[in-house]
Amino acid sequence: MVKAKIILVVLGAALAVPQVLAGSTPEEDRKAMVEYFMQMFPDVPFEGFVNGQYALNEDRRRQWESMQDFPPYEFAVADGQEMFETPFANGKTYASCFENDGIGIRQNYPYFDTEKNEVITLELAINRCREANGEEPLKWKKGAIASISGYMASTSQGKPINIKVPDDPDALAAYQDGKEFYYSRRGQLNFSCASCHVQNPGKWIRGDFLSPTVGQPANFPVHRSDWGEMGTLHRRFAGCNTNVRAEPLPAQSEGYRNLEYFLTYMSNGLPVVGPATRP
Amino acid sequence: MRQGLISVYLTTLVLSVTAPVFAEPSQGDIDRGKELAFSRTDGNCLACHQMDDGKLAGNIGPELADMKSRYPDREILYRRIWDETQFNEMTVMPPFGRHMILSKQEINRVIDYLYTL
Amino acid sequence: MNRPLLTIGISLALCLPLAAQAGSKEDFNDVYSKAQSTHQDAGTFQWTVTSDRLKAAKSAADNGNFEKAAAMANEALRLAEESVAQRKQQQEAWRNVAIGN
Repeated sequence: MVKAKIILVVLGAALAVPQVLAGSTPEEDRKAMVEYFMQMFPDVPFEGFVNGQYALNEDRRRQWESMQDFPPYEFAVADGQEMFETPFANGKTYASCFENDGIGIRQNYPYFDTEKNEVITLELAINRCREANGEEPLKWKKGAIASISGYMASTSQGKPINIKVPDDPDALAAYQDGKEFYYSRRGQLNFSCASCHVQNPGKWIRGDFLSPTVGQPANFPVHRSDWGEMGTLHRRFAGCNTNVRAEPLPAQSEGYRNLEYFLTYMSNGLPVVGPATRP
Repeated sequence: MRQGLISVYLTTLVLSVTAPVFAEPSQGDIDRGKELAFSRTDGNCLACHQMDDGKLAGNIGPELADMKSRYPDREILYRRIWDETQFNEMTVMPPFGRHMILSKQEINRVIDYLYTL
Repeated sequence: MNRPLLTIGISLALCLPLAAQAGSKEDFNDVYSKAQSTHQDAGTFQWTVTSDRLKAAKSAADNGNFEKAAAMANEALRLAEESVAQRKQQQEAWRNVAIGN
């Protein structure tokens, strides 16, 4: 398929057809991607992809299962719940900022806000809620924000991810921007996100086992043994970029939010399983 | 147009990169090459290739063995390490020379070492 | 009669190292600002190694070591140029591996 793509691209260039015209819809992209991974890993059931590397590697899976009795994020989630329920100085709580009081809504994030014309991630909504209520915003990548978002994810476990790209040119542009980021090679080492997670999932890169694109954001925020604590998806983006010697974008920058939008859309239909653990 | 560009690229590469005739490498050259190949901050070949006595090697690329019979032409091997994307657009192998991850001299030391495998 | 000549000679001799230093400082400033602006041109495709070289160049210059500063700035410039080339190339090349176009 990939070879066919090169031929198409070369043909496209030769005929000078503006390639923008040939854009596939988000739903076409998602279906093609799910099919691509189902063919690559025929033994993994669709829902299994939320477990990333643990769905693909038996040894890793056993180690992981043995951790599940005392998951290392438990205390952080309890802290998150307490912060979530503690009123701000003005007497209101986080619940006042969210649909359904913030319970069981993780699967709808990120969404495109057609009035503000931007992607709203869960972490952005948490900090905007704080600011709207006269509180200082939290730091983006770890600590309190990961705990609160972890608690909110825990109330949404099992709910299918349901990201929408509304019929709106700006929403589509945000999705396309995230998609282009995902496939663009960056950094001195010349890797895109897709170099590892589309082209090489199931393989080892030194001591790390590569997971497929589909299912990745379902786990976040995530407790990584490498971090020794929980972190947000944007912390992970920054880590991956730095690994390939590309300057990371700031957490919650437009670029990373668009990336999260595309990436999470690719996991539509898979259950929320965050917070989770990863190496 | 694209083909034209590629051939210009390749010509430039050949002109700028052509390695001089090589004398037999010393043991020091080979040791230095191995050090560069294994080091995570230099070649880090082990990230993707199994080779020699390297620990925790990745398996994205093929095992590096029998290098002399697979690459009898040193120049070709040099150019592939310099920029494999010129040979295979889809490769994930970093363009070590073009992106200045390794210098010309360092690539040559790595080749000295690879030829012992 | 020799006095003025000697004075001129000494002054010249004293000036030379200064002139040489001023020259390399200027050279450094040129390359450094070019490297910086090229690094900016890379947009979201900047490389960490370029930022590292720029920092090293700046700190060498602050310590008066303009030879090292210029060398670092030159490396930064070459890296920045490659990152800009990567950015341009990826504008179309990202589609090569994309699922869906």
